[in-house]
Amino acid sequence: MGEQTMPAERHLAPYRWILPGFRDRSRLAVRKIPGILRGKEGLLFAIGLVLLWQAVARFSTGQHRFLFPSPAVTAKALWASLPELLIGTWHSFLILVPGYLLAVFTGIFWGILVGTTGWLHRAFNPFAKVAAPIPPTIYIPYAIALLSTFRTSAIFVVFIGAFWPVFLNTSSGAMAVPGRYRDDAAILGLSRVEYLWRVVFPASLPHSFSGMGVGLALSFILLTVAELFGANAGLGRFVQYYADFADYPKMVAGIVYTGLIAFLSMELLERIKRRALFWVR
Amino acid sequence: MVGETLPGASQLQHGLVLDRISFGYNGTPVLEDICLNIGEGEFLSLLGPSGSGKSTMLRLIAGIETPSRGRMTCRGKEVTGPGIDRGMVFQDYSLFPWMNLIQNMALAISRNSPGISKREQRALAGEYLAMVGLEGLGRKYPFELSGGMQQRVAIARALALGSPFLLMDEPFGALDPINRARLQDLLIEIWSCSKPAKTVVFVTHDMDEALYLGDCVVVLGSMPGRIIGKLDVDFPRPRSRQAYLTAPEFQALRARTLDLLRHYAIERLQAEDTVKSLSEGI
Repeated sequence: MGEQTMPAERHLAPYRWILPGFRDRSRLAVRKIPGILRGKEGLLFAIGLVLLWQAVARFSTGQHRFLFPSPAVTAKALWASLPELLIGTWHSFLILVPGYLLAVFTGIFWGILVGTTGWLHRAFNPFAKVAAPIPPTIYIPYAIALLSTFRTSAIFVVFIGAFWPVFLNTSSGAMAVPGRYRDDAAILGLSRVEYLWRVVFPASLPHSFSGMGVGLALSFILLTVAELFGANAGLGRFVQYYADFADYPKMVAGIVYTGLIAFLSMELLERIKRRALFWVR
Repeated sequence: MVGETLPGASQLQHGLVLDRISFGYNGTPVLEDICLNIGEGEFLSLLGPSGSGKSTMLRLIAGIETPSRGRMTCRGKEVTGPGIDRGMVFQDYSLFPWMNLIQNMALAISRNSPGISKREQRALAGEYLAMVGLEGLGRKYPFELSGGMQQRVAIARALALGSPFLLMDEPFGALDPINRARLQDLLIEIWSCSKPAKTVVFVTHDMDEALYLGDCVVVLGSMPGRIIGKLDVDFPRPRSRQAYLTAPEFQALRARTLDLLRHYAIERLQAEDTVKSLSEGI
């Protein structure tokens, strides 16, 4: 084709499709998906995945037979343990919701204050730079030792995990409030509290929401990991429990169910975000 | 002359007085030695090429920036920061996009008359919006409006602030010619109806706009910005666009303004030449 590549890019050529902005026009153009199926690629992929799963389950032998329950067996297990899973969801949410909401409120509040106050930023930022990258899972044993109940320590861990992304995004959003809004607030003579509440908070909300997305995903990870450690109920606990009994259909059902719950939670957040940020163009 | 006994001293207590104002960004001078008296009720156009610091001058008057040297008083009181006695309209539509028009207006109204109820705020907001021809649009959000409409709201909000001084920073610079002409006329109408008459400082780089609107035009030169001329536009109001285009008085003013700008440009070029030839000798 006579396509010229830069020398530095040449050795990357086999991996071009990983690079941002890559679109292989030639292949897309040749292998067009038939008209009726276009737009349903996601569904097709899911069907393909289930078929592959079925095939692996069907043709695995020996001990692998136990490790790969077929989709039908898993679905049956899911249906059978649905009451247990619902109760587990309730217990998990008793940890997730308080921890996450606490993180959102304090993260936004503190982020706005730190992002708009010079001395506070200079005081807190060095600490944040050190503390934020600590993997929150590392706190779990200590939190369990330190706090009286499993629930409070798990809430604490979820809180820590979700707090940093919300805080960091909000404070950078608060620092980047466009100058014209600042001038505008000055001309209108807004008080500091009014300025923070009516200008900085909404102006940095798009940033806060991207932090909240990352925070929610992290919350689910931390929640289930914490439950593997010491819970007596909950989604992570469900999976761990049946793994201990080598009841793999139920375990896989628990994984699929947890994925579904996490997906629905992210979707809910996305809807709230779209409503709250209706003015972003 | 002795300042204390100046006959005009009492008048100087009114209006805006800029006394040898200079301003610079990290050592680069932007404005130098600006001396200007702006009388109450006057419509003053500030005309200058880009880089002449005309917007900076307005920001200094607004109190958003602080001069590096000099003194500035507004009605006899030293300007130390922003105040609601000086309202401002920016070129980019400076409404808050997350608030609807009523909420945007209410922010200004609650400044002007604190302690009034939400209901009264809404009613007042509606009245001000009607003044600029936007009745019934209070529930709309800025992104639902055209640029011209947004600028009308910005004007309405500055009026709602109740400021006796109205600072306008190229407010119509981003509009198409027809909308621009409409808003110019609307502004003049509002200004001439205001009682007591508002003082307007109108920044523009459009000579015709400056002359058509202003009682007087202050011309700025660039790098650093300084006043290179002040022209009085003694032309009766209401003015008409037709008259502006044809009247010999206006033609003479246009010619003089152009002359000022051209003369200044030539002077600068010559100054640069002198420096060059001097350095060649070394």
